[in-house]
Amino acid sequence: MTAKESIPPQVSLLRGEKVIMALRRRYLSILTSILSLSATAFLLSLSSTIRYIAQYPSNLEILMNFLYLIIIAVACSFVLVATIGYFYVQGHLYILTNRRIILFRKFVTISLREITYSEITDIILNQGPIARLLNYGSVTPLSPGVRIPYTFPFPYVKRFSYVRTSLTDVSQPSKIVNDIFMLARSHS
Amino acid sequence: MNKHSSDTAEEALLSLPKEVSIAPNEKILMVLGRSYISFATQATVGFLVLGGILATINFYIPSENRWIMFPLSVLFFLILPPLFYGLGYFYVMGHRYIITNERIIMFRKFIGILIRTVTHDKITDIIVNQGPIGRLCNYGRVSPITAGMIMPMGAAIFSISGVRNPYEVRDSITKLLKAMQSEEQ
Repeated sequence: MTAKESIPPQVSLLRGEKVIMALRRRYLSILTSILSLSATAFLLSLSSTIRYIAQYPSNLEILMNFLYLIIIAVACSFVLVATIGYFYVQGHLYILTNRRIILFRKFVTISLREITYSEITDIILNQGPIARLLNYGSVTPLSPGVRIPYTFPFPYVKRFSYVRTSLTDVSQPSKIVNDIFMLARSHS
Repeated sequence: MNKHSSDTAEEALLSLPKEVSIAPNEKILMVLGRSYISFATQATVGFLVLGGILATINFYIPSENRWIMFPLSVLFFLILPPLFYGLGYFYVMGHRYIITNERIIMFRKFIGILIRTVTHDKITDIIVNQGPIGRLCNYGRVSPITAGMIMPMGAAIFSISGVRNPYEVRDSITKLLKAMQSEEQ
């Protein structure tokens, strides 16, 4: 584990605190979201173009050029968003120490949450269908201070504010739940 | 725990989902599943409401547009019910509620996976809910509430829903909590 090397300067460990695990968000998770968004955008544009072609068949050449333009625009947007997404994902770091969990996100802004094991009331695991296939998911340790009224797995509604309170899209989430439970158990 | 529970515990090891792992020295006391009837009653009520809405539309719709009622009726009364009740079976089968001597694990595997783990010492309230059909058919929802879980939506989603003998389940959890409290003292 090379967690010590990757600990950001904003995170300071206490005396005698040891890093047990450092987790990162999976890039695949965001890539699948971007891919599905791009596919939806492309299909919507395509259907409008086809409808237009059916209405005005004489302007076929112009419309074909327009279609190419849409394909290029969608491809460029995909590359751009995928690149930004890469840095967004790289900005996430979840550190499990022998005393607490530190959830850190650095992308444009910085967001940091620390929770001691003794304060954890519930542990929630959330995996959507694609996440199940690719073995990633979100683990949310709840505490009396950070409460969620509800949460739904993809493709249902998920409020973005909750993402900051979770270990979002980490690999082998059920193993992480078990590890957190074991750590919380040793602190109770 | 009674004999029935220990028998269930033996079965539980076989039916435990692979996503759930039990810690060393942790003992499974009870594994519960959701009863299909709890889902079927909800779905039936939904279809009855839908039928009422369609009947009302049929009453007010102009006669020249009444043809739309036939495809709608076919969809809502011939296509959707088998699909809904069939999928509902898999939805219900995807539920597992595991009560161990240390925690309660609420597990749902249907399209996605949702797991809630709550240790006994963090439970502040236990709520039991039974609807009219639940009372007749002896099923209900047992909601272990913690400081981190807000009522009512949180409890509705992350609860031991549609279990048989909900008061027996409640008693088992209460016994565990009492045993834990006396150990602490």
